[in-house]
Amino acid sequence: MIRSKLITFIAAMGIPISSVTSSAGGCTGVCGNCRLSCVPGVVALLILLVKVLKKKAVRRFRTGDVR
Amino acid sequence: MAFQARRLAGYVLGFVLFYAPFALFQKVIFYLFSGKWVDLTVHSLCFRIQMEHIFDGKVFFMHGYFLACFLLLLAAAFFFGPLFCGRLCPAGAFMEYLSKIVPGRFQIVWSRYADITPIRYGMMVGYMVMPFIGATLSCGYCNFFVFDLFVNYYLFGYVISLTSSLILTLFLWAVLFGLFTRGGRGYCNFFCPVGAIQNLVHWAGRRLPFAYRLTVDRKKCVGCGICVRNCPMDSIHLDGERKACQNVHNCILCGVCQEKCPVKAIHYGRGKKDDQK
Repeated sequence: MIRSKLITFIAAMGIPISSVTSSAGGCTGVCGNCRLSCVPGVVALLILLVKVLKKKAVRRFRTGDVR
Repeated sequence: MAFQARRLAGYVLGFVLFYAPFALFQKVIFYLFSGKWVDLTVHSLCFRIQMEHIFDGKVFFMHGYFLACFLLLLAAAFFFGPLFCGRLCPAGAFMEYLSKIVPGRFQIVWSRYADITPIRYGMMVGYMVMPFIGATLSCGYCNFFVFDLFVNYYLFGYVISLTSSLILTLFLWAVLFGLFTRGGRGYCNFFCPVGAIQNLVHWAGRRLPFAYRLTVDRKKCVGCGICVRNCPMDSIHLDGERKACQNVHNCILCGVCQEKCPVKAIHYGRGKKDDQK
């Protein structure tokens, strides 16, 4: 439980921090002119998304809740 | 009905206090420090800049105007809770009201799938450690700023240059975490560090006997779940005994649960012992 919260916390921390790699990678805020320097932020978002989807799938499997 | 009208009036007041073309709060504080009455926006107030420099100490070397605004926010949160979010902030309220147009079956209840508190505080700490690695976050990721641009565009013809950060924020704030989130306050819940720091300060302050806080009378609570369904921040749940439990880390003290409770088991005030588990 604590471990899961810690992973969530660190992944969330990574979202604003990832702007470091974006600005260093030449991100000007206009998509298309960079070299995917926002990838760490996207990865952090994906980690959180996978956690959400996993929880949703488990819930659906256990209870048959389809909401 | 009177409660809804009072609540709406609070957000209109918040708009007049913090947003251009009025921005009376910033203007008065700035006038007190500099003796000049100048045009300011919510961007000139920016609580996030002060937040980013708490750990590296630069906040204490900022212009007195910035520091005074920030200290007022924290002091209010310490003694009264995050009332800025719940009673004044029009950016959050705008999406809360707008989200009511989408039927509930299309909206996500994030607390079912994600643990809100670590994400909320993780984002906040992320903001605060950024100066140590030589970075700051673009204002384009701020929903206050996006709301300001949005309103000024429609009301006063201000031209917006849409950068990718603005488009992303607009999508997250207005669409995914707005229209398609139950309560419409997903952005407030997950991405707003100003709300998170107020909750953290309130969490520390609410232990004091003279500080205001929300309490649930467990004897009166009948476990009907009306407060849970109506909370725009998803911050109330029913515990194992089917009694309402408030999550102090994301409650914005908007007063909706208190108003909707059929047995008046929820109170906001001071001096009462917290009777939650």
